[in-house]
Amino acid sequence: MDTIFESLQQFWQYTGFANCTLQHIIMICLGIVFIVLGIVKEWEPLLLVPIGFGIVVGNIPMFPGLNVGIYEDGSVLNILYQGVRQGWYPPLIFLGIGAMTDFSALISQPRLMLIGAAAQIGIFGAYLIALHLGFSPNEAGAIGIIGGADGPTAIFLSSKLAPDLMGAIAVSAYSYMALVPVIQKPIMKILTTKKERLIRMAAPRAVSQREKIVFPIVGFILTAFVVPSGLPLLGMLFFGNLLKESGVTRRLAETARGPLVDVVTILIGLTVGCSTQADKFLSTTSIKIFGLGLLSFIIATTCGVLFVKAWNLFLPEGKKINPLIGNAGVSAVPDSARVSEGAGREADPKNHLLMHAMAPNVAGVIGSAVAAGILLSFLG
Amino acid sequence: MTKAKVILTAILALCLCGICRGQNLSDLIISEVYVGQAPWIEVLNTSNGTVKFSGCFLTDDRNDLRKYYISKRDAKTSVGPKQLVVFYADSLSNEGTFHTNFTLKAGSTAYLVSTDGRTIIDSLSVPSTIDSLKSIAKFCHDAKELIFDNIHEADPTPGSFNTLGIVQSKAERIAQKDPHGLTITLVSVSVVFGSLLLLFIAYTIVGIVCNTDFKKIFAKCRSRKKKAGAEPDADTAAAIAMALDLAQGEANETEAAIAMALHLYLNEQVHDRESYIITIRRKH
Repeated sequence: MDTIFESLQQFWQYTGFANCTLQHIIMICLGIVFIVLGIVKEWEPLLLVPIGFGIVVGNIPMFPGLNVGIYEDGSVLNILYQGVRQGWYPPLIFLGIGAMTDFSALISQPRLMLIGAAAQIGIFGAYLIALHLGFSPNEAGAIGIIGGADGPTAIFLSSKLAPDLMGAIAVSAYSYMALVPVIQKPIMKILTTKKERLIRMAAPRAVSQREKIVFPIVGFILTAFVVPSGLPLLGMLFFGNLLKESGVTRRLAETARGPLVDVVTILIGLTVGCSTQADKFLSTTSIKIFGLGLLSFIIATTCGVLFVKAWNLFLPEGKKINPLIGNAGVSAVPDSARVSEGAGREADPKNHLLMHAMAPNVAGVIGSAVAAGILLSFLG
Repeated sequence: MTKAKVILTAILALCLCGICRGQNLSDLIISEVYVGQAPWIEVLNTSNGTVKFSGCFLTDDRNDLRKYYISKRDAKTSVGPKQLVVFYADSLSNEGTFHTNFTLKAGSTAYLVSTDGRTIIDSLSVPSTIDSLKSIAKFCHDAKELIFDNIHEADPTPGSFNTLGIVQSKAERIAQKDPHGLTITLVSVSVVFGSLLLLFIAYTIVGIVCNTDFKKIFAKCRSRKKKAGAEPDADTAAAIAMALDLAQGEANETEAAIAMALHLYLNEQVHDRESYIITIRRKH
């Protein structure tokens, strides 16, 4: 009888109940909040549901040595986490993004590309603030990239520059990507006048197949020559787009934008969530990262909108740009473009800005990859 | 196999050769040598990839380059990127792969020889006057640049990187040079704008080039030349005559349009590019 009692007592020590702390409970609740936001509010469900569940998985209390935890060498989760840690997953996601993105809006109006550049100021604004808050330059660079509103890029750069902060940076980036409509809309309204919101832009011209094929080749060569350190992201992005547009590699393009990107999204979401273990995640540093992430989003949106307003001063009537597409310079595709569309239609129900906003939006993807490459060159 | 396939295979083979040669034995250098008690030879991999050095040779004799063979059986005979490996040159080769069968002395030269037994990968000479407590080492100025152009005596540091001064990471250097981050920010923002501006210019040009019908332009140029020269040929003349007849005679607009199109096509090389699908609707 004593043996049974001792065994049960020993087993109790192995259970999550015996090892649970308040931090575990907080993190599990956070994971559940993510899942609820993904399912009920449908905010980026493809990201928030795997990340949320990953947070729950990663914060099940256990005693070390079972070789199942994400930070224990050789465990299943640890092996899957290597894709994040070594930066394999982000380029694969970029391949899928390239294969699913139609760059026609950008090709037809290349001038809107500059809005994508203006929004990247958010990255460097957050970098400056992070430095002043006492972060080292490489940590500040990794935190700043949250302002690019690009989860894979944030994971890629933080895995290289500040692996210890990667969990907080990735969760922060994905959370704010899900909250794009909530963050951006009020800023856009504050910064624009009613007259500006009513600006109508000429319909983009039709783009030939030849242009679509030339786009990824020229784009890749030019950007990779300027920032070779952005090669994994830029190369995969443009390669994916070439697969899509060439017309002769349909099967490859379908795999890249379908099963491949789905598999990698599941793995990246789950493992990033798992990496946020309470003891590593719940700290003042994480809170600072979340604050800086929000700030970088605000700066990026503000810079995008103000850049368009300033540009309009030099443009003749009829060629003016609606500043409501300025927010789309961040690379949260297509969410920020949808925000532009929504805000545009609120001011004038017949004014459709989606196609125009898609141009700076996809330029933002390129811009954030370029910015990541620059930071990697300087700080890596 | 077609000729194209043969060429493609040859190109792929060449590319693979290039890749295989990318991270090879030539990236190894003898970075430090010690000839005091328990002499040793330090080998450094200067590349960013792992280099397998089994099958290579170590020697102190220029005339006997195959003196010590590095066994292929030892799994530890590979060196990681920018990592070092130390061989004891103590004539105790029976103690393992990392003990050579010769003893290195002052005034001799250590050679690292490729697997072919002929090609010297690197060497390092030890002066005969060297202090027995000192080693001879190749130093680099910068841990990132890895140019080992400074050879002199030093305190022995087996298995440690030989650099002049303090080795700093890029981030540390940046923190020192640009503590507030303003320079990096300005440069980075300029580069981002520059890159996208470059793309803007490139795509504007691509757009113009792709949407210009060069055939039409050439045709126009040719027709101008023709107009300036001789009379239209027989076909063109017939088409024009037909067009004129139809236009002046019966009011058959369709035939007139066809004739005019023929005239334009034959005389001025002007024609529409259609989808090449002609649909005929039968009249009932």
